[in-house]
Order: sequence, then C-alpha cells, then structure tokens
Amino acid sequence: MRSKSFVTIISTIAAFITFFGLSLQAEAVSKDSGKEPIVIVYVCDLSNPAGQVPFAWMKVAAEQINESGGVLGQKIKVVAEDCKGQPNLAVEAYTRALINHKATVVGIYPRSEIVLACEAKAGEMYPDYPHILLAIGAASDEITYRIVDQYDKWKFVFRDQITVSARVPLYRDQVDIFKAVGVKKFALLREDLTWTQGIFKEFPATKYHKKILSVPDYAKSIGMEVVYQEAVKYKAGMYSPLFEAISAAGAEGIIFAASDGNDLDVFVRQWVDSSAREMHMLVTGATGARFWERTGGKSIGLITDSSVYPLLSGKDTPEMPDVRETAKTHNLAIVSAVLYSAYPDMFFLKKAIIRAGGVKDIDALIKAMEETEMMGPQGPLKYERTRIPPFFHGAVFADINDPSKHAKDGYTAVYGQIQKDGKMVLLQKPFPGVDGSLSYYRSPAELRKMK
Amino acid sequence: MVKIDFKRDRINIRWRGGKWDWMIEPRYWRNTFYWTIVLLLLPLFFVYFSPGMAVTMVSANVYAALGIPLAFMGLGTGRVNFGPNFYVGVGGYAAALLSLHLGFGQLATLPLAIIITAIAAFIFSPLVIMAKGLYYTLLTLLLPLVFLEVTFIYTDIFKGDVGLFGISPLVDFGSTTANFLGAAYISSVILLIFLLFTNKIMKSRYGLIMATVNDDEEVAQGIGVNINRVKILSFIVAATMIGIIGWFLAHYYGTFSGITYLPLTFMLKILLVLMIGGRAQIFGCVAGGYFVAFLEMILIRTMGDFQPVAFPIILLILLFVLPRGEGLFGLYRRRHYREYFPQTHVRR
Repeated sequence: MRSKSFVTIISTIAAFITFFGLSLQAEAVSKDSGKEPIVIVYVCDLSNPAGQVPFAWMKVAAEQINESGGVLGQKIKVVAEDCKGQPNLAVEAYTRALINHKATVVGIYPRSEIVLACEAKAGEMYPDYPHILLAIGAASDEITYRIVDQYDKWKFVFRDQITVSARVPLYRDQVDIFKAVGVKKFALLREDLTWTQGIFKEFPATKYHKKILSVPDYAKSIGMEVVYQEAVKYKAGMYSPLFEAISAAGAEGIIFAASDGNDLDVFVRQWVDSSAREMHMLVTGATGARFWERTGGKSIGLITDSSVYPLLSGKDTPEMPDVRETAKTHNLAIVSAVLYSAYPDMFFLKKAIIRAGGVKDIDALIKAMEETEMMGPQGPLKYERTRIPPFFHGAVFADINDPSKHAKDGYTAVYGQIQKDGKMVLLQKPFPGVDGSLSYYRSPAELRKMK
Repeated sequence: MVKIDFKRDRINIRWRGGKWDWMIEPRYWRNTFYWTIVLLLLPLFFVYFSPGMAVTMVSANVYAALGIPLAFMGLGTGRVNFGPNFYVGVGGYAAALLSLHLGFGQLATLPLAIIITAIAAFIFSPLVIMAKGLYYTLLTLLLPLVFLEVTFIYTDIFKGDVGLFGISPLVDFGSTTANFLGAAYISSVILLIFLLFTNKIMKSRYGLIMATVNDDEEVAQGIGVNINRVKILSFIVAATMIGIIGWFLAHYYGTFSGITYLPLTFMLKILLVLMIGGRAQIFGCVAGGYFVAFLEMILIRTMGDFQPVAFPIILLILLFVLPRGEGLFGLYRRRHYREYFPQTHVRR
C-alpha cells in the first residue's frame, strides 16, 4: 500500500514537472542568442490571412535588410507570437514578446480590440520594458487618442494606418466621383463595425478643427441626395432584399464602406442578379488578388479603392526594394495596402533606428520615429508630429488643419474601376507619372456589354 | 449557549437552532490543503522563472473560475447552460461602464457589477422553469449572441467591435513584477473562494436538495422540495459568480469588448474546461482550466501553424479517452475513492 502511494506521489510530481517544464521550455525558446539581434515581435492570428500576410512580408523584409548588412551592424530578427485572435492570448503573447524575446518593437495585427488590450498591458510594462508598439493596420481612433494628454505614458504607441477620423477625405472622394459620373441620388451603406461609423456622422468641432459634415450632409451641400442609408451586418450573406429596397428608393448608385474581410464577393454576385444591377457601384475593400476570380468576373464595373495596388515602386521608393518585384520573387500576396504595409514599416524602422543611433535609447528611437520620413508604395510614409488627437503618432493622411481634406504629403489612396479581364483602371491621378483619370470610367452596364 | 461536541472526524458546533460541522479528519481536507498551497506558491515560482507564465496562470484561473459556477448551475437547475458567457458580458460591461463614466475604481465597481449581474440573472431566471432540454440549450445559447448584437447596435454605449478601453486597472503597484503577482493572486483568491463556497454549499443540506432536483424534479417535488426556488436560486447565484469574472476581466485587461467574450468560441472553451476537467467534479474545473490554458500556450509556442489543428484534436481525443463525465480529475478520484471530494450529480 505504501509503495502504491509512493508511486502515485512520484508520478504526480513527474507529471507536474513535465507539464510546467514543457511550459518553461516553450517560454524560453528564444532566449539563446549570439550577438544580440534587434527583435521585432509580431502578435497576430497565424490562422488568419490578416496575420499570415503581414508576417510573411516582415520576414522577407528582415531577410533583405540582413542581407544588406543589417542595421548598424545588428541583424533584424522577426518573431511571430500567435494570439489566435483572442485578447487574453494576445496579452500573454505581448508579455512574452517583452520578457522572453526582449523585443524592441512589438507589432500587432489589424484588430483594434486586440491592439487596445495589448496597449493597456504595454502601458503597464513600458517603464520596465521600454519598447515601441506599432499597430499594423488597425484603424480605431482610440489607439492613439490618449497620447496627447499622457505623452510620457503612451509615447511609444504608433499606428501605421489611416485613423477613422482621418477617413473623411476618402468619403468625400467617393461622393465626388459619383457626382462626376452623373449620379444625383445614391444609397449609402456601411458595414456595421466601428471604423465605418464616421460616414453617417458629422465630426463635431474641436479646438483643433471646425465641424466636419457627415457624408449625407456633404452630398446635400453639393446638390446630391442620399435616398437610402443603412448599417449592414458584417458578413450578412443575404443582400438581395437590400438591393430591392435601394432600387425602390430610386437610387442611381450605391456606396458601400466595407473592409476586405467582409463577404464582398457575395455582395457583388447578388448585386448583379438584382434590380440594382444597372446602378453605379462603389465598394471599398473589394480587393484581393483573386477578387475578380472569386466573383466569376461579376465585379466588372465596380469602383473600389486602389489599396491592393502599390502606387509607387522601384526608383520612386529608393529606400526599399521594389514591392512588385519582391512579391513576385518571394511568392507573396499583395492582398491590400493594410496587409502589406508591414513591409514598408520594416524599412521605415530601419531608417528610424539608424537615425536614433541604435535601439539602446528608446526615447531617442521614439523621437526618430516621429521625425523620420520615407517614400513607400502608397506615397510618403511618416507619423503625425502635431499633437492633435487621434492623428498624433498615426500615419499622415488627412490635413490636420482641415481633416476633410487630404494632407499634401502623406499616405495616398485613390479609387479605380475594375474593367475588362479584372484590370484596375485608376480614376484619380495619385502622383505625377502615374496614370489615372475619371475619363476612363464606364458604367457597369456599358462594361458588361463590352465583355 | 454554544455547544461543542468533539467527534472522531469532526467538531460539531451548535448554537440556538443552528449546527455547524468542522471536519478534522485529514482525508477530508488534506489534499485540498496541499493543492491550495501549490496554487498559492505558483505565482512566485512563475514570476521568478518566467513572468510570462503568470499571465497564463491568470487565464487558467479565469477558465477554472468560470467552470465552477457553470457546474454548480448545472447541478441546481438540472440543465446545462450553453451561454454562461452572457453573464461575463453583463459583469464586464457593468464594471467597464461604471469605471469609464463614473470614474469608479475596481473596488467600487465590484459590488455594483455583482448587483447588476444578479438582476440580469433574476430577469432571465424563469428560463429554468419555462424551458428544458433542447429549448433551454437553444435559449441560453442565443442570449450572449443577442447581447453581442446589442453591443453593435448601441455602439455609442458599448463601442461595438472595438470595445471599451481605459478601464481602471485591477492592480497598479508601479512595477511589472508586482502587477503580475497581484493579478495572479487576485485570480487565485477568487478561484479559491469559488471552490470553498461551492464546496460548502454542496456539502450542506441545500446541496442535497440541489442534487435531488438534479436527479428527478418530479420526485423532488413529491417529497416537498420547492424545485422552482432551488432552480432559480442556483441559477442566480452561479450567474452572479460568473459576473464577478466579467468584472475581473474588465479591470485586468483594462479593455472590454463583447466580441471577445460573447461569441461561441469563448463559451466552447469554458465547456471544454468543464468536460476535460470532469463535468461531475468541482475540483476538476481547476484541473481542466490549467490543462486547457497551459496546453494552448505550449502548442502555440511549439507547433506553429499546426497549432490551430492540434489543439482541438487533442481536446477531442481527451473527451473520448477520459472516463465519461469524470474527466482528468476522475483519473485521480478513482485512485482516491476514500477521500472526500464534492461531486455534482449529472443527469444522464
């Protein structure tokens, strides 16, 4: 009996040690190192393209940087920490990034609630583990809202995307394009997520800028009318009744503010089979390398944002390799600007680290991040320096003195139309030397006949 | 006058009409005591060797502390609630909104989160009388999903998919290590209180009545048990305990979003904790919570891209291999059948 309990105790202890030993070993995976590399950890969902694609681009960028001699003699090491899309696991991953990997930069994939959960933990840990938090692709204002008021606490937070409040110029562009093609009445739809809320609402005046009209009010001010508006459930699946209602409302066109994660192929297929098929259609996020194939060519005539296509490359982006060429040689997907923005981010970080003279002094690196500028595939890449919430420390896009207008030297997004064989034709001219004109526009009905 | 009787295995304390037993026989508390010591030493061990694991420990405690009231609710109502995460949402949002709009600290939001969750549970408690079987399952399953929709519709209040942020922190000692320790100990203390509370109830006369209701409602009614009262009370108490975890999560992460806790994925993890630990074992929830949380962490760190496939496969295999209804804790229980452990009665 005694020997039986002895065996039980020993086996319990053994199981306990094995289990926690494995955990400790798993924790310590990255502790071995020769000459310390600069560690960049990417907290993401590796089972989701929104996590996989940026990580693949980051790894290739690190390879390219290391092949060219690294950064001030130090290699760059990129590590992914899988969070399975869950905030609790993301916070664990963030903690490991700082404690185990000793990360200088922690990137977080484009889900705002995950970024916010990690940001709260990062704020707690920053005094003991100084680092940079880079939100890659997340758009919420909340991410950078508090940096102005509590600069010393949150100064390490940067966001490489256009914040929600900075999207007004994009919304205005959409309405202007519709006006230019002769639409007077249109339906305004938005996917029911926080980032699209600004399209229905006016931005109240702040001490930094005057009141900004909502899209319906802006349309009214230029002689147009929103005859139907609705927040559409994310991945709703069934859009036919919506198209019939829009058609009955007398709309001549539809604007749908949506993201590339939505079921936009389903939306487009049902549009073509509805009584709204002759309407002009503008859908943001209707991108992706295979969107044309996914819709079986039914996306012909659709106006969408050009974010899937790098506007600049080669000699126009001298501080980084050619994006299109890199995509081809490394078999990488240019799914959307949001997803491959991690690539220019890496070269931006390299430039900022060189400017700061290394990564030892994080305050110097933060200052260098604020001051560095670089030409990326979507135009100038730099972070807002003026202390205006929520633009401060976000990628420059809107003019901070009048956020309804584009900044003169910031991230650029233009609209294009999907035409014959899925070819995108730009309807706006983004840069000198890049072709784009509204005169290329054809109505969906016209393009279908040509097809 | 207090009257104390010393028995072989217990001390009986009588005062007026009441009677309390205090177990002194070691087999009733020895192993529980040892494991409590281990649980209280773990944060120190983790913080010394690998502070990141203290965070995993907090997740494990949360899973376990959600499994315990769910098992308790199952016992008292005779039904399996498929939407316990609804009350995580209620408790979490109550704490978050009170903290953000009224500037309440974590201690001030706790009683209010408890009261609000209890009221919500009371409102929905007639479900345990009105519905059973598949209908009850479906109704409870729908509740968190409807709440999730509400958080999207009333974005101004709940901030939709982004969630509420800037909630006052659970602990702020000004040092990362101290904060890790603080959070780990608070979660452990909540877990231990839940265990103690559930254990006491189940060993009491009321626990026996709950078990009777679980075994056969009609027979229970036939012998004079007010089954509706038992079911409603069990439902409200367990839901309120779950709401406390919502409070903890809101303050611990400093953010709270319905899209994290209200979808099926979160609920499934809690049910897995219950099943792997042992659905008929209260202490099994602790084994289940730690097993699921640490297994997930190990797989994430070692299996890379294959992890999302490996994790459910391992759990599915365990569901089939482990003794039915007894789970991981059942393996231990079988070898220690003479020791006392609270056990829920599971209706087949």
